[in-house]
Amino acid sequence: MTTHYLYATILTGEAVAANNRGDNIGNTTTLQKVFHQDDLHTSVSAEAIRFAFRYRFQLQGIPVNRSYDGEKLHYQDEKRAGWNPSHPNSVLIDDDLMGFMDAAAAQAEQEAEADQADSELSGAATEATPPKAPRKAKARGVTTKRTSPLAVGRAVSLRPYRGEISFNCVSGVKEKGRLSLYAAEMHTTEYQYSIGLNLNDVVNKKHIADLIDALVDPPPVAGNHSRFAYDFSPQSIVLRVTSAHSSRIQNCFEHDENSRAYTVRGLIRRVRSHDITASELIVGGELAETPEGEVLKSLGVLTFPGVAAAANEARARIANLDPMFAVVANGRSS
Amino acid sequence: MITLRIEVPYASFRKSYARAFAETYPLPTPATVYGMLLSLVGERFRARHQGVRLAFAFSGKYEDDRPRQSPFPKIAMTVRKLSRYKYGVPAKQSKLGNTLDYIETLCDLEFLCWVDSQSETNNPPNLETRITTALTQPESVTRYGVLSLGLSDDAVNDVRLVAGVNYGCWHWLRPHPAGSLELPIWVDHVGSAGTRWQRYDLETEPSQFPLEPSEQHWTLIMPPN
Repeated sequence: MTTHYLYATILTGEAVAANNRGDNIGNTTTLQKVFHQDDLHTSVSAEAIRFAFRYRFQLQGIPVNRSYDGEKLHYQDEKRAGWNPSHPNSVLIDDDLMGFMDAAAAQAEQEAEADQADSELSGAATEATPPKAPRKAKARGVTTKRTSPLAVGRAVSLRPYRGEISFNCVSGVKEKGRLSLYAAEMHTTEYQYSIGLNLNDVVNKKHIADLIDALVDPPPVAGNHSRFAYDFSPQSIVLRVTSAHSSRIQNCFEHDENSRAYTVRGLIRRVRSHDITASELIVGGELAETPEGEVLKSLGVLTFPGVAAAANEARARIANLDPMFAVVANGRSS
Repeated sequence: MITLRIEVPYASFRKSYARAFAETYPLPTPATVYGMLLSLVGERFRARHQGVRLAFAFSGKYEDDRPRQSPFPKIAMTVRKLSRYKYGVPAKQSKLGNTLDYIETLCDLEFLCWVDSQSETNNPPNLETRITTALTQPESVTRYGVLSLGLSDDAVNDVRLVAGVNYGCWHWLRPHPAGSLELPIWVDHVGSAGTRWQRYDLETEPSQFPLEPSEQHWTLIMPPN
């Protein structure tokens, strides 16, 4: 059966970001940083983005397994005893899209899982490598691990970090002898991040539409962003609906030192060389109206001035892949 | 023999003996790359392609042709939530949940991987054939999840077949008994008695063209007896 994927790369607008995450050096709260080529870029973790998606589902009123009350996490079914993929409507959206693992229980099930893997071999391979131990019955009704159909890449700043820092004083009552001065690293930049979703693996296909809604309209993402109100929603989005097993669009936006803006030269090169089939790509938002967006359009990429229209197109394309995806055509609100 | 060009923006390969601080191997390990190739073709049984041989060369240039400072990918250190079950205090996992700790991440990975199925011991189709099918007729392959290298969020951006490498700047990863790198070639996830390592050197000078692995470059992927 053909495996279908939705891949996306999102570029936010430019703003001051300060996702400090509680890590510090002395009295300076630091930003997380990674390298892109030889430059240092700030980063927001994939876990923070996953958290935001999950929180959005909760705020929407979609039943979730793990919810957040502002202070603590609460599980409806932490051991996933009720996980039953044969009844898609009973599957909770966060378990379905993001998977789960109970490490302690998984350890106990290793052998059972290995035996199950043996049984999935083709006949020829089974003959060639017979299992050494006698088969044990798979523990019925207990599933402790689900591979996430969704991969979320870390968000990386479009612009290199050049050392922006703010100097502050804690508010409230000052205690004698306790330092109230602190510095916080911050970064004026756009962020880009990429996701991949194995569409076949999603048990309740309606959840695909919910994820696309969340991509276009995410809640605040983590850390000090709740105070800085950094908008993590896409200013531009590149979507790819395909059966190819690698996206080739990850982090496709590059900072252009000369124009102080961004370029998608690499993406254009890949479309031009047919490494990416143009008809599989959808571009939405600001990029569509740039000269490079025009080039992509001339190469056969469908472009939209708005990100919502691009998301609708992705939904429609997914719905047309196979009757089992028909439900994706409409968002939850429809 | 086939040649693959693989590109992964960020990845982490936790060292076998790392505890709370998740140090990474400085390069993707042969065991992990083999696992990724199995995932690419939709194979869940690890020993299915035992006997396959892999060879590796790492890029000395970035995608835009600028030279790298070193063929070793740069290592960034960030914070993430990690399970205490395996690397922390297991008893605290159920009560306190995951905990924050530092993790190393390799940045901008780009490498060539040669796959030679001549010495595979199981029946056809061999791994070479299955990879070629997965890349040229992707619609014929059923697989799970998103293709990743190492952690499941570290998605592979590109894996492609290349024919005749006559461009770029590539450094061989050479198995050598006195090499400075020790990388796992087979990992035992239940305990570690079956885990196997091999020593390597990453050559400091880029290779001459045409780039083809010789006998000394191959790593045999074989589970312990």
